[in-house]
Amino acid sequence: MITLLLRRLVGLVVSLLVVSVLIFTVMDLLPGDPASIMLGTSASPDTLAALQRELGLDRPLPERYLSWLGGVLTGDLGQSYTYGVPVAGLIAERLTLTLPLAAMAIAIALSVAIPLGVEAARRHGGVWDFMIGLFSYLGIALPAFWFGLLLILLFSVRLGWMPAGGFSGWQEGFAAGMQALLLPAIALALPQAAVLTRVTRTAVLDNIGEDFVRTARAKGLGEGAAIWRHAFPAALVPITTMLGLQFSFLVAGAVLVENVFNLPGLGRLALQSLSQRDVIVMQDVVLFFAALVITVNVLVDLVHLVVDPRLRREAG
Amino acid sequence: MRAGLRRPILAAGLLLTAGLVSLAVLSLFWTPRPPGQMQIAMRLKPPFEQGLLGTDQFGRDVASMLMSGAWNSLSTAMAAVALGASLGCALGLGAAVWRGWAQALVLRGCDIVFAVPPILSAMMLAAFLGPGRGTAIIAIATFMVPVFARLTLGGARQIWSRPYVEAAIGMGRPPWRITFLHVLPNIADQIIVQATIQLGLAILTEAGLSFLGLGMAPPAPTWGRMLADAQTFLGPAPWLAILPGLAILLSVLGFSLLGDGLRDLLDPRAS
Repeated sequence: MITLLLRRLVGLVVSLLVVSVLIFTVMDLLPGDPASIMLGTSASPDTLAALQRELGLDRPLPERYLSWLGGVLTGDLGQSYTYGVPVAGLIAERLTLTLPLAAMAIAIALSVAIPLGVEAARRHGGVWDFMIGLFSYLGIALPAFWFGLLLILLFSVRLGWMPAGGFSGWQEGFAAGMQALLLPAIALALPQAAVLTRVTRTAVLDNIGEDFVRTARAKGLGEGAAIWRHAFPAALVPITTMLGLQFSFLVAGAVLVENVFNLPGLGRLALQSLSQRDVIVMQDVVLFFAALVITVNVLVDLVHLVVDPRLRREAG
Repeated sequence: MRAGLRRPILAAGLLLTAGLVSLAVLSLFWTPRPPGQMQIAMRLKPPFEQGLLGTDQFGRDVASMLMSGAWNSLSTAMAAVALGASLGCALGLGAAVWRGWAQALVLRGCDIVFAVPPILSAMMLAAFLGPGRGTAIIAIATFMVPVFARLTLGGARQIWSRPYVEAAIGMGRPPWRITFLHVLPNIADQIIVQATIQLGLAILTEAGLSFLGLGMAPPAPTWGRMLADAQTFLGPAPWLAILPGLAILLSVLGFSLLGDGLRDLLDPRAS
């Protein structure tokens, strides 16, 4: 078990290193360099050379990569060109919005998807199953950012119940912060809920016919209890797997939804850094998101190994 | 009951996608008005009052912009899926031939590419190459490569272990011939189904990219940018925010229904 965990963690570190090398190399291969992008076309060659020296762009790629990596390991991601502050602090500050937003979206998605998926499996073939199936088709096709616009249109413009966007920080109080994040989280959650509903339904259906669920029924457990206490826990592995796989889409959705609701999160930081040509910030944010997606998927994998003895035997 | 519900999925998918494709193709020859034509006097008119679907903040005809946007969206999505699918399938088929480290490399590479959502890779590309259709196509295609690589690798490995393929190996047929003669034709169904579903996702992603200004450059109308522009006029002109989103929703829905319908048609066991 310990060697298995260690092996996964080594795999994680290797993946993270490879993704960082890859992003570094791609950015290096693309025409133009950060200094000329930041300064625009009107900069004098002297200014350009000075900034290139300051950013260390006159050094060869491997050297730059290693010094960046050394920085990351000591918590130094470099300086933002436009804000003039360390990028690490900038990312940490924006995370106080993006992390709660993502967590809220996942919580909402799960609390919608699990009851719907289980219900659809219980009554499979019936009208409810059909309606829930329709919901997941529509939800998967629904652009989260458009749903966000519709929510603003209804709750802010028409009814005036909610702010149309913006976030004044957690110092305004927990409730105010949560209120500002509620509509964006719902917009972000709906497509996820649709996918997870489908997975829950299939996974529960797969388990309903299994011997251990039949035994539970034979013991005199009601149909509902047999499903919730026996078929559903066994379905948690595919559900969390999908949650991990969907994390990449959640990140993409967050970038869009933050822009719809004008929220100063990490996704908005990435887009702002693009329009301000702050390439270093953008590179760090992209790497951070990629690292997050990889880490979440390895964590999901590890949790499965811990909870499901069958998988442990296969992997061992 | 379920069997009876099966074919409607295919029918609904066909209907929606056929509608989208014909409107998109029609827009190349005819739109009610030129999609870029501005008429400031007619600005922000609701549907039916001016044109079928109203006008935007510059008095442009929304129906014409949506039609033209359908072509822009569909052609970008098709190019991205064609690029991503051919690269992904080539990698998957190759990995199935070489196995060993090549297979491990492809699979690990898939995990890593999959960790960078197209929106982020589009931003990276846009910083250096500038935003535009090419950037959007490359970003979307990159994200599709792992999907098709994993699918073909999985499918191809099954075919490679079939008796008739083992017989072909025994006869000394070269791997590339076996790949094209036996492996590819047997997994073509799965690839077509997946490509159909991915077309929908590509349309969804393209909309997101052009919403953020990372898609086709103006004045070419795109559904995503129509939504971005509509944000300013949510109160006075809600139709500007509703109609393009509906177009995206129906298109993506069409392709995902068509994909599922095709899967049931081609491989009844899978359902």
